[in-house]
Amino acid sequence: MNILHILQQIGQADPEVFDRLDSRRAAMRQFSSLGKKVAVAAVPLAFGTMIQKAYGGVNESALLVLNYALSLEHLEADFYTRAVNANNAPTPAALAALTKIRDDERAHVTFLQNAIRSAGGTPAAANANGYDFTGALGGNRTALFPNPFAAGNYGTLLAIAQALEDTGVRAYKGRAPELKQTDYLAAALQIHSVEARHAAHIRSMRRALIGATEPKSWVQGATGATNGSLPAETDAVYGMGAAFEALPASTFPAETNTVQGGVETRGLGNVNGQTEGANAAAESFDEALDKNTVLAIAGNFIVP
Amino acid sequence: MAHTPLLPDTEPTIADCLLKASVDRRSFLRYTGSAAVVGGLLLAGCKDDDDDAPAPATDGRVNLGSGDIGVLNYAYALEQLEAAFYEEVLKGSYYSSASSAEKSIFKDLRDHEVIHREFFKRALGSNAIGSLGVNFSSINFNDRTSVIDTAIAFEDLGVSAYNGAGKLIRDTTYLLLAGKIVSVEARHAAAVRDLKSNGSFAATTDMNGLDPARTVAQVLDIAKTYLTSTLNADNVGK
Repeated sequence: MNILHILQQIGQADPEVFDRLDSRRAAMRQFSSLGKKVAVAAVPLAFGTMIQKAYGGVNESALLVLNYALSLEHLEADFYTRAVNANNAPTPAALAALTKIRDDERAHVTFLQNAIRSAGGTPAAANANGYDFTGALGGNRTALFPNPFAAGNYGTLLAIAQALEDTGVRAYKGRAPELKQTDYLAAALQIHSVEARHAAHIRSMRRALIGATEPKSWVQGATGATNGSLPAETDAVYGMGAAFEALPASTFPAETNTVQGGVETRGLGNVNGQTEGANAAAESFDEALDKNTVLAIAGNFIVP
Repeated sequence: MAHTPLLPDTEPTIADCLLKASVDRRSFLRYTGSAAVVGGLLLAGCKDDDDDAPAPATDGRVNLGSGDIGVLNYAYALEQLEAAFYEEVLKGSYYSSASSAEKSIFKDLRDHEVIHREFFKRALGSNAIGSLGVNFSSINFNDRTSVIDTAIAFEDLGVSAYNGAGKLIRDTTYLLLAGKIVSVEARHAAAVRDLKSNGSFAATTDMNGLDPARTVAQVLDIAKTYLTSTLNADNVGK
């Protein structure tokens, strides 16, 4: 294989081939030499992989998104594994639901690990020091919540589960633009809708727990309080996000938002003799959340 | 081309504009990442001029149009179907004698799908297809099982449709909008599945924990039973 010839050919089609292969110009300069003697030892062993990563398969941006997703799935998988092991669910149906969600999250971890590897990336590991779902960061600060896995704290378990699932839904949505028009987008959407199913069912479990009509299975407002009397520590899950790269903060509004693509959606349900519910417009669209806000929420449970 | 009132919050990226040029889209996207700057190309304030308003039907089919407009009309068609279904549910005797919990769910489903439908109608403006005729003769709106089974079918279908259509979308604003809707449809699907069998909220997942994604053709093949019009989806996303 005449690597020099191959690179010259590619260079005719794409003058920036060397930047694409390695942004460290000096590393690639050896290949731009027109001299016939290129040291064999200078040929990178993974030349084929380099070309593959430069021109084929997924780009680095997509790998970042996939690893972001994987990090969140590690956290969720740990939560539900411990929830099932704690075995504090009051009914067989409740335990079965937590088990199903656990199994889904574990499957997401495996799927994303495989996707990242086959794309030439390295899958993010679960957090080395584990996760502390009281929010005490492993004892480094005052806890935010009672231990959700302790007997008698099943309500807290479901509350944290709702917060995690609703965050996950917003998190996937927030990174979708970076996967635009790729097969990775399809996979991300196919995970994202499952997280929404989880979120809806956890909400129904919370209704069943106290025999209430709240929270609904859909997101109702911009605070924990309006989403089934969750504590204020969960407000960030439903609030406004922040600007991220090319996307302005208006891309990540709070869950009370009713303006979609410039269209005010309140009142659109008042048609054909029916009056829409007070929060119907806000409920009809789940909002995206930016990477940094999501990581701040998740960071409450990641032991440093 | 008619101006759609849908206003993207973000400027088209240089990558978006270059899609309109002769660069092959797929190979370009592979190596440019999300914020490419190639050479010294200037951003020329490009618009989505290659998305055509649907042409008048000459073959009896309702033309969904091409490109992103096609995808939006495709979504609009499905929302029309769902909204019409729930509007009928609210008129039937299952609903009128249902428990307050189930009434609350179906009232919300109706509200959400009507809002989705009316949103697409306004967002598409003069690019919107007309109102589609529906055929619900196979559904018994007085029977809980028939209503819930159909709701499950429609919601699962909608989720799989959005999941499959997402990667066809070129405009970031439209992609985000589709994303905002599909998770609500998935919440709907979970809710109605649990009404039939509590715990079946995510029985749709495969061995990877992924929900289905269907192609446009697959979705319309299922939906056609409930539509009196035939849709032309030949150029959706293209």
